[in-house]
Amino acid sequence: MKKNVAIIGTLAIGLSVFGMFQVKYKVYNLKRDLVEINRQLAADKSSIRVLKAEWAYLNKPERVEKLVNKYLKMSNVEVAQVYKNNQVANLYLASLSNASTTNQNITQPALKPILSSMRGYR
Amino acid sequence: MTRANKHPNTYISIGSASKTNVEASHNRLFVIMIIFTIAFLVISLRIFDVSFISGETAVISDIENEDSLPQVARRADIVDRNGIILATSLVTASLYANPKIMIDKDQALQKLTTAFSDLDKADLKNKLNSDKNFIWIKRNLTPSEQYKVNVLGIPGVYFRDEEKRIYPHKNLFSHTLGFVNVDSNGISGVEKQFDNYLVKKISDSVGADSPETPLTLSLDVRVQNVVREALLDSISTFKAKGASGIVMDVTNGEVIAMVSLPDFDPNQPSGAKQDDLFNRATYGVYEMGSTFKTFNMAMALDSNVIKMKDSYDVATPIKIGGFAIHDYHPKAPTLTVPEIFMFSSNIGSAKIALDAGAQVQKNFLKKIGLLTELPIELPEKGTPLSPPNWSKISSMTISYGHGIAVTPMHVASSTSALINGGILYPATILKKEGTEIYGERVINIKTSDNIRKLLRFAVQYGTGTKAEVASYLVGGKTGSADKVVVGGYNRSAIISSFIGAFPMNRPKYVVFAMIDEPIGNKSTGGFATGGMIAAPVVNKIISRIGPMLNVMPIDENQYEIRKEFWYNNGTTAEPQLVSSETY
Repeated sequence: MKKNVAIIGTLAIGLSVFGMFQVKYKVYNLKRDLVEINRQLAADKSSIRVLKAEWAYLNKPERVEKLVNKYLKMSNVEVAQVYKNNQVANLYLASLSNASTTNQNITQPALKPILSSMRGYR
Repeated sequence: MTRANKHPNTYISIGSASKTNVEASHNRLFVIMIIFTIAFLVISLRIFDVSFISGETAVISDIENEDSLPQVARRADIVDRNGIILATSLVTASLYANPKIMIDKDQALQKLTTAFSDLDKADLKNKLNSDKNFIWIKRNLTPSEQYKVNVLGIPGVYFRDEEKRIYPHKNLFSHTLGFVNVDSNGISGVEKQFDNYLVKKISDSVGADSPETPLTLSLDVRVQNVVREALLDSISTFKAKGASGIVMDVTNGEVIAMVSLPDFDPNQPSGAKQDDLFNRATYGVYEMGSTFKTFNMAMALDSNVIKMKDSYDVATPIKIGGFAIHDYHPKAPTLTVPEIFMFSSNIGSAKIALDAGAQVQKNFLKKIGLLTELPIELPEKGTPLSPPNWSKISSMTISYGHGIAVTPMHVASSTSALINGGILYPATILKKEGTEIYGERVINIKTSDNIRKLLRFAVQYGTGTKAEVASYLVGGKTGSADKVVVGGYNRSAIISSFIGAFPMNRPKYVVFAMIDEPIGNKSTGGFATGGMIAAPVVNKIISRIGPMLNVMPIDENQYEIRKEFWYNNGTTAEPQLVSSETY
């Protein structure tokens, strides 16, 4: 009897010691992972900031304007080109009926009749 | 005494050992046991200590070592109203060397100078051959430069993380944002005003977090750029000394754009001249000239001193105290109130101011915020200069904007209050959208309606015709002020200004432009007045920012719109539409 208690007790102590060390090292490893992840996070955040700053720099109005002048044939939006949604729909319908009666716009690109009639609308 | 003598039968016999011998061995065993017990106790205590007390922190501090974490920026970003970055802090690597442990100095020198052409070879050589153990090679490297150094693989050179404030838009926001010193402390502008706010952000966030919540300003990058370009253009065309431009939302006092020229690059503030650093928009005070007539009219209309249909005799210059008040654009011997405003009559304005009285005028200007510092969130704020004793003469000159000096921001802020229905909102550079804003009523709605009409008439038929943008119903007032020099005024040095607003039936934005000492050329007929120099700038600004800011064009011929600008000239019972045939 005494012997059994001693054996079970020793085993229990042995197991708990083993378990504790297992848990301890697991936690230690997890902590190390956490630190590594935090480090990675900070590094990524840091590079995101660099990219954002670069994006803002590349989108400077001054630079965009220069590029537009160089590569696109576009001019500034004129006041007369600003319309409300429903106005545009009406203009489009008007241009359709124009096209069917005069038959003039068919040979022209699709956008043109709408734009020209928009100017006339003013 | 020997064992053999005492125990002649056996050489060694434990069982029959004498008592003294057994005791002695027991004692020896006991001593050894105690030694071992103490030793094991010490070891187990140490194990306990390592696993539960001191070991924990030692291990954690090893893996969570602060130095091993990459450094993050400690100052929050500043963004515009659409979230575009205006100022950000980056962690940059700075390159340093320890010459004492450098193996091949000549090779290092050779490699570094080929990688960075801007390094001073002789200087670096001296530094490398010194007996210091820390020398800076190059500070604030770009990531690609840092990569280059890593590739070179020179022993004895290291990086140290440093924080650098970056302004991607360079000169565009120089005066508003201000700049920081090497230790990232705000020195001027928003950076100084919100220094605590920008730095506090980091301590609120946990651990390695970088500042997440940026400071959102009311400014708009696109509008700011349009204003700056228009002013730069004007400066180069008319060889002006400087300029200032403001766009403000009249419905809440938000500043959409604020430009002061000449400006500087806040990334390199040390390269700026003293004049470049001066904020003309909120710090410089100027005699504004005729743009003050708007305030004069509002004062007289609101205190019921005049009515719109009243008229004044402006045929002869007013002579008072040894000087005379002239008109620059004489039209007719008698002018109605709108005509006095449209044609910018100094005589008429002075007479109106006289009728109102100095005290009324002073109280009114105080009420609309023209005699005190602005509430705007910037450290660089100018205090208006007004006469210490408000005499009859000063009252008359103030009516047309001389003898009182205010900042351009004052003009924009007070004019906003006069045309938005009469509420003065504190000028702000922070985005107020979504928050409740408290304004103070300074004039009644009817006066505000009349001021809107007057401003519109001045652009339609008066001195401000060059500011008109088709279907935006621009209203505004020109101003041309002689500059103050020691002992009087300099007639040839003029400050040209224009305060405009659009669309005038329901104003949304005021646009102010001021050009400092422009020189008239052929295109302006040699004139450097507000109507010739500043009005076209405002025109350029409005026609470009209107579509950007979603301002809908307005059909001027609509009955409802025409009704807004009816004017009762007192001769007929029915209100008349002011039309171009009248003038």
